Amino acid sequence: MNTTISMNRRNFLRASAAAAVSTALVTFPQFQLGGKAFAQSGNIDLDILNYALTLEHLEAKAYQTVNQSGLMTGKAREYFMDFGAHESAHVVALTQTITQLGGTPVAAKESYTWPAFKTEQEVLTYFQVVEELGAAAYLGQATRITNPDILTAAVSIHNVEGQHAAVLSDLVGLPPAVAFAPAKTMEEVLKVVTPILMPAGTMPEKMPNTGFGGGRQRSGFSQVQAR
Amino acid sequence: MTMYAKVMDLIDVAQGRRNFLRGSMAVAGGLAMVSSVGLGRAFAQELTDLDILQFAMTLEHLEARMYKDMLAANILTGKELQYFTLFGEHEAAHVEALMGTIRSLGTEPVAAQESYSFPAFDSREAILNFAKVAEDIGVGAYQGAAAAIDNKDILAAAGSIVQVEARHAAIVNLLLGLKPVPDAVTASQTVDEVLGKVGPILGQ
Repeated sequence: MNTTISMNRRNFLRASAAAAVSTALVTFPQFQLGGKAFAQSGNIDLDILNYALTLEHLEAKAYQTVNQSGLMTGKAREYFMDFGAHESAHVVALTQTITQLGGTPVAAKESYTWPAFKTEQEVLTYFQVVEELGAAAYLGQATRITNPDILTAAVSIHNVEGQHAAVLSDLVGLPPAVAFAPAKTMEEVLKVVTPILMPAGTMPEKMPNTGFGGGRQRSGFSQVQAR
Repeated sequence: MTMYAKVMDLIDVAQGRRNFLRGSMAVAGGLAMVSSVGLGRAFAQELTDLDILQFAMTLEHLEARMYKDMLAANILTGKELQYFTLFGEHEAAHVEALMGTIRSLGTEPVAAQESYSFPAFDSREAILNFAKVAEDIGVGAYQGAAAAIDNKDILAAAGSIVQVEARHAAIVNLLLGLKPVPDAVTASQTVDEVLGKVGPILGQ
C-alpha cells in the first residue's frame, strides 16, 4: 500500500526504470561454479536465457524435493504439484530455445543447498521468497532481451512466476501483489541465489535479505545442512 | 487509416462521440463491429508506443471502474473484500501512471467512459466471474503488445503492470475454487482478439 501511494507521486517513467537497462554482461563478474562460467556467450539473449534456466533448474528441483517430502497438505499440496510441473516445463522450454539458438544450456546442479524443511509453513515461507525473486529476476531482464519472440516468451513465463508468488503470498498471509511488480538486477538475484547454488558447507549462515515480504524484513534463514 | 486512428475510432464510438456505422443499422456483437470499422488484422506491431499506451489506458479505465462498481455492490466480505479493495487500488494506480506517461508524450489520454456494459454485480459469483474475464483480457492484451513496445522504460512499466494483472487473475481463480495457475505460461492476445472481447463491454 505504501508502494502504491509513493508510485502515484513519482514520475511514472522514472519509477519504472527500476529495471535499469544495464550493460551488466560486460561488467558482471564471472559467476564461477566448479570452474564453469555462467556468462559465456556474449550473446545477450542467450546469456539471459541461461540465467533464467539456472533459476528454473533451482526452482524445479526445489519443488521436486518438497513434493516428495510428504510435508505438503491440502490445497497447498495440489498447488505445489502444479507449480513444480510449471517449472519443469520452463526448464524444457528454455533448454530447447537455447539449443535452437546454438547455445549451450546450463545444466542443473547435482544438488542444491536449501534449508532442511521441517514444516509446511517453512516450505511456504521459503518458496514465497524464491518465487518473488524469480518473478523480479525475469522482469529485470525484460528490457535487455533483443529478440521479440524471446521477449514474449519471457513475459509469459514471468507472469506465471508472479502468479506462483501471488498464491504463495496468499498462503502465508502476505498481500498477493503491489501496484507495480518490482524488478531485480542479475547481480541482486545472484547475490541471494548463490548460497543455494554453492556446494553444501560453503554457504554463509544466513540468506541475504531480499527485501521482499510486503515490507517486513525477513531476518534470513539459518542454513541447515539438508540431511 | 493508421492503426492509431483505427483504435481511436473504436474508442470514439465507444464513448458515443461518433455513430459507429455512420447512420446505418445497428449491428450486434463486438466482433462484427471490429470488422465493419475495418480494423482487420490489427497486429500490435503496427501500433506505436502511444497507441499501445492508449489501448492500455482504455483497459485500465475499464478495470478501475469495474472494481469500483464491484466494491460499491457491498457483497464481498472478509479476505475477498480486502483483495478486491487492493486490486482496485492497483488499477487506479495504473490509470494514474498511464495518464502521466501519455501526457508526458504530449497527448491527452483517452478518457474513462461514463458507463460500461458490465453484467449485474448482484452476487459473489457474478463479481468473481467477471473479474476473471477482465483480468484475463488484461494479461493477454499487455503480453500481446509487449514485443511491439519500442521505448525500454515503457516496456519495463508494462512488464511490471502485466505481472500484477496476472497476479490478480491467479487470486481470482483461487477465490473461484479453480486452479489459480492453470498453465505453465500465460497466453497472448492480439489487438483484434482483445477488441473483440472488450467491444461489448465498452458498450458496442
